[in-house]
Amino acid sequence: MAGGGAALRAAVAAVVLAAWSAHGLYFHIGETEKRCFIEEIPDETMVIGNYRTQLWDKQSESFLPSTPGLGMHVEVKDPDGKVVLSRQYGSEGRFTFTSHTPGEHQICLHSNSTRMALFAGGKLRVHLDIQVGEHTNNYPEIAAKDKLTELQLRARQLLDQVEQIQKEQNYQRYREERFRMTSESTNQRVLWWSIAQTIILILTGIWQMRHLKSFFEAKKLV
Amino acid sequence: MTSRSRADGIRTLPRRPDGSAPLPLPGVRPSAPRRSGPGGPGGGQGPCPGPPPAEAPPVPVPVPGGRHVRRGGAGRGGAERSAAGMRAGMRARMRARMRAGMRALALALALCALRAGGTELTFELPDSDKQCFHQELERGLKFTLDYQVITGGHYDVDCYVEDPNGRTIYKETKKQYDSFPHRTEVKGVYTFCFSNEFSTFSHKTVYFDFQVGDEPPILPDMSNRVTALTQMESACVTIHEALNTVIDSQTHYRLREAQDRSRAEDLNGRVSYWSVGETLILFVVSIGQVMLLKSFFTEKRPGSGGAGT
Repeated sequence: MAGGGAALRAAVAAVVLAAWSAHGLYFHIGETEKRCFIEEIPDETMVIGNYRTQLWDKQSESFLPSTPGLGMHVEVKDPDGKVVLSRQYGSEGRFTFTSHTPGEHQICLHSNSTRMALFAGGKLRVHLDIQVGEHTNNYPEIAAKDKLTELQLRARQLLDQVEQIQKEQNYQRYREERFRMTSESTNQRVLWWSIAQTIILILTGIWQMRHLKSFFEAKKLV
Repeated sequence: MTSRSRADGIRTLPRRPDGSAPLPLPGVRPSAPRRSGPGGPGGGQGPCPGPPPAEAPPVPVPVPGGRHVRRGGAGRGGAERSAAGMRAGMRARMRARMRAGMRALALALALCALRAGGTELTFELPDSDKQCFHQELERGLKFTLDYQVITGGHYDVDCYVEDPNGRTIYKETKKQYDSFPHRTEVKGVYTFCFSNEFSTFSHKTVYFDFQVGDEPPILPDMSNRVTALTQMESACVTIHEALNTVIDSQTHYRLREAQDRSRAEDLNGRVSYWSVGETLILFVVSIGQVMLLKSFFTEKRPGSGGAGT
């Protein structure tokens, strides 16, 4: 039993170490390549993004666990194209922003490091995780700060979820309105253009016949 | 066990109105715990000691060796107390060690549970391009990949999933949306790729949701539960799971609405351009016809045939 505790502690340590070395979904990015992700979110929603980069090491033919000196530039644009966040972070970073207009926000990442071309052959591994809305809440932290019991914490979580649902529904109403306006505009355009084109067709026909008639009369064929 | 079936139960799909096969539910926005832990390390998988996270509460966890239950320790019969003075001391020490061990195990479980998560991302796939994502997974884990094409071209994309040995475990071409559940058999890096290589000029927006594992508990020390849940707590859990379903549905409808809206806006643009184009073509053709006819009846060469003089 005495050894069991130590073994468990070692296991926990191993898990923690592994947690930091395998950081979730990752993808490869070239040197000047820019990768953009779209988040369609309602307004007043917080978004937290965590990323971690690893550099390809030509000598060991593997990715180094972490490389200081690498930088990633993060740019976030709101649905109107306005830049909400444009910052340089280190090789491991966390960016946060809150949306003020509902719609499609674009989160773009690119590396502006020039070391990559020299050492890496242009390959960079980026681990990324983006959390939106009520997923940004850290419940154990909230429980510790406000000293909530499990039931109270669960109630808080339910409240957050319901709030998110409400926001999403408001956003849906706004989207549906836009959709309806687009459809009505298409409907109008089709209607008016059909009428206009029929009139133009008739007028052109009449012009053609009259022009030809006067032409043939001039030629004394008619 | 109930937690696992309930977690699976969340993923029931809305049936189509005509009762045909349900649409897959690609638009899954998971609740907080299903993702990589809030603020903690991301949802990757590493060595996980002990039982899988699914055994976390609300299922009451039976503590091995009923006598060492924290609350049950006191209140033994008087006859035992005198005789087992030393044994009580030893038992207390063992209990303390057990407690420490359980706490450590709970922490490990929590970390494991925190790491059972998922990612959902929407990205733009340029034409004739392929984008791949990788994730390191343990053996025996259940994961689900949902994807849907939101805008672009014919709203279809190729997708394939490879296991660490390079074997293709899923491959589909020109699919608009799909859901792929799988249980990992090998430990290692799993790759899934989306390919738009068959398209030459339409870039697509693809949404994917990669869910790994089951929903972990909201608090790290909930693994230490020794009693069953009260009615209040189990009602809360039921509400939580129902809300998860609601959020999933909302994401699903949001994606479909985005798709429809993109089609409607395309149609609008196309109607405008085609109307203007058709009017121009009309003018060109009518004037061309008149000039051609005139040229038939106009003498070019002296003494040639034709009706005119």
